[in-house]
Amino acid sequence: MMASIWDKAIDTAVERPTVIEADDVWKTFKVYKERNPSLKEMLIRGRSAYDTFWALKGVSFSVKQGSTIGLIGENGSGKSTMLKILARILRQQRGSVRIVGKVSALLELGAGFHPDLTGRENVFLNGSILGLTKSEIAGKLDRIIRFSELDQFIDTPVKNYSSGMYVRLGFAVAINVEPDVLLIDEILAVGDEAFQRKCLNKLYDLKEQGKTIVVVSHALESVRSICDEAVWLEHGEMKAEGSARSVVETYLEHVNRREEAKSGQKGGAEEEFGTRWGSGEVKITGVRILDGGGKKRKLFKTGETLIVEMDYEASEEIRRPVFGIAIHGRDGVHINGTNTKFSKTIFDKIKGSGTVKYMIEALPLLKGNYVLSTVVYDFACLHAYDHHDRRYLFNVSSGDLDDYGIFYLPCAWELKKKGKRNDPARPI
Amino acid sequence: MIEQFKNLFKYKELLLNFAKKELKIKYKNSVLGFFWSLLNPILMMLVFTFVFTYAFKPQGLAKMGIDSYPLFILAGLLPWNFFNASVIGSTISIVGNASLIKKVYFPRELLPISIALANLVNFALELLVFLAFIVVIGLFKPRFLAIYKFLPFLLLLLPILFILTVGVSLLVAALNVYLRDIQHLVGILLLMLFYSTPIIYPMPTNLGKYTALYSLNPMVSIVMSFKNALFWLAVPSLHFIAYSSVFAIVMFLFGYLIFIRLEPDFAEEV
Repeated sequence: MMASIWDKAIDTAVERPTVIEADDVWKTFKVYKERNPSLKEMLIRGRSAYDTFWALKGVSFSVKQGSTIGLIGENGSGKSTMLKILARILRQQRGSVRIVGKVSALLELGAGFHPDLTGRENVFLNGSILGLTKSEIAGKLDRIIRFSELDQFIDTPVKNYSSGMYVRLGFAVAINVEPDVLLIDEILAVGDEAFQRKCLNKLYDLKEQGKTIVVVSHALESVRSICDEAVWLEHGEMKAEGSARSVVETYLEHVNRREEAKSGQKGGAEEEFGTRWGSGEVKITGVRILDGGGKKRKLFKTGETLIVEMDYEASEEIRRPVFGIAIHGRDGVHINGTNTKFSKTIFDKIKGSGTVKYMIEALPLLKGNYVLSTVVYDFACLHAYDHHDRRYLFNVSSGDLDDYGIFYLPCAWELKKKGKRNDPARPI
Repeated sequence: MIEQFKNLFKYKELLLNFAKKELKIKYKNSVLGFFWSLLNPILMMLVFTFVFTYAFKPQGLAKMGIDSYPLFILAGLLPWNFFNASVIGSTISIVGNASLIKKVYFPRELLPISIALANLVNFALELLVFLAFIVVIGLFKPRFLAIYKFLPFLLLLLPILFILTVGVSLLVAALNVYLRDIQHLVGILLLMLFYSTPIIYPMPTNLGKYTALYSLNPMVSIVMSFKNALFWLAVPSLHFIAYSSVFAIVMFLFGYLIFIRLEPDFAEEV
């Protein structure tokens, strides 16, 4: 109890300074219709005509020391451009950018690597390019070589390296640069699983040391877990800024809503894929995925109500039909398959048209992409009247939950220390 | 501009690393290494010596006091090669490092300057060989042994040459980013300049009123000063030194200014 009050006191008393400040940044790129990059052409045809493309339109944000901020958005939204302006590689047309402290930009691994030089020589060159002094590099050399796992190859020319070795060396140097401000552009997407984990761990170390980090990434999961704050850019404009979690949510919702709109009225169902078969005496003529309020949805939050409505047409009288649904996850995992028979809901007979409603009160699924199958069989569940196999997509976002896996399982934790007084676990 | 220049000193280690890289990659794949770069001036000297001493004998050589045509040429060729190689190398230094420019920040002028530095090292080594050569010749023609008295002039001449070279290098490096055929133009212009400079021939005395025009070429003053110190073994003319110093400084300021103006958009244009 005392500990948390003390923590809070310290946080408010020590105001962390702002180390990055982008103020109303506008940037254009010249899009040449036809490049005349020669003196001869210039003299004959005059300067080449170009269109102006506004890559950034009035972007402003600030980052406090020790904070990790993510820049997210689609391709072409301006995130890498913003990062490059922060790195002083590109120049903005309007607005200002201010960074306090030593800045290191990791936009590409192995920047400056020369194929004829050995791994060792390239470490010194690359490290120097990234801002380390010779003595600093010498001090970290062993660590770098070990991290890259290239001990026996460190003295062969880099042109003989495989692409994986190249990348490992590049990252080993990059990750040992310990500037005050680190700018990273998508380089985390490189390398195998074990390597990626190593890199992420190192990033967490840097966070703990109080370094300020700006990350551009498409891996929204990483952004949610590593970043404290995030900025969403679209077509050069800032659409959202705030806590990483909320900005990622907002962005995801936007993406899903746009896809919903694209599929038109067929909202959360009616995708033309998956397979369909059946004898056809009863046909499932429409499938809709709705929320508790009856609205068509494609994206649900864990815990929300999910309703599936199936319209049917029975061309003849069918006795005791069994309607069923199946939910599959990514990688084809069969999550649940149930039907009216298992649920002990017996429909006596059907003829003509109608709608069957299936409802889950509180969706226990965690974030992921799921696909729904809807079927109608005979009572023995052997004869298919209409089987729509894995045809209807929907997505789930976990909202505030961080759990991994397929399901959310409500649970409680308790700690029992040997010999001491036991404190019950405190929720954060 | 002063700010930018001061900023350079923060990056002096990187500058040296770039220069080291230039030198290393030149010699990495070659068997003879440094001797290749030595071969260039020696071969040129041999060709010109053959042409002008055997094939086509201008009568006055001996009369003008040129008692060793090879040494005469080399004294002018060495500084020229430094200038030539640096300018040509710098022209493509920015566009040739496009990927680096787009990914990392450092003052872009480090690239052309590092090329000049690398060539300076070559120049220094060639000078050492030249000195060895001149001492050997001095055993037969004793007047050359007085070279030691004039070596200190190099301390004055080298900086002037270096500053001029860097100025020109920065200018062409920056221009080449926007107008890619500059690199071809530079090659031709340098060739013309070579023949307009008294390297393979002595300072012309029959130009009359065109002497001033001829002497506008800064390399005339510089090469003549080097020849005075290294071949004629006389004190370099004050006129030449004054003119070349002023020209070098003006060229440096001009080249650097243009470079700074064009630099911020390099990453986009390159």
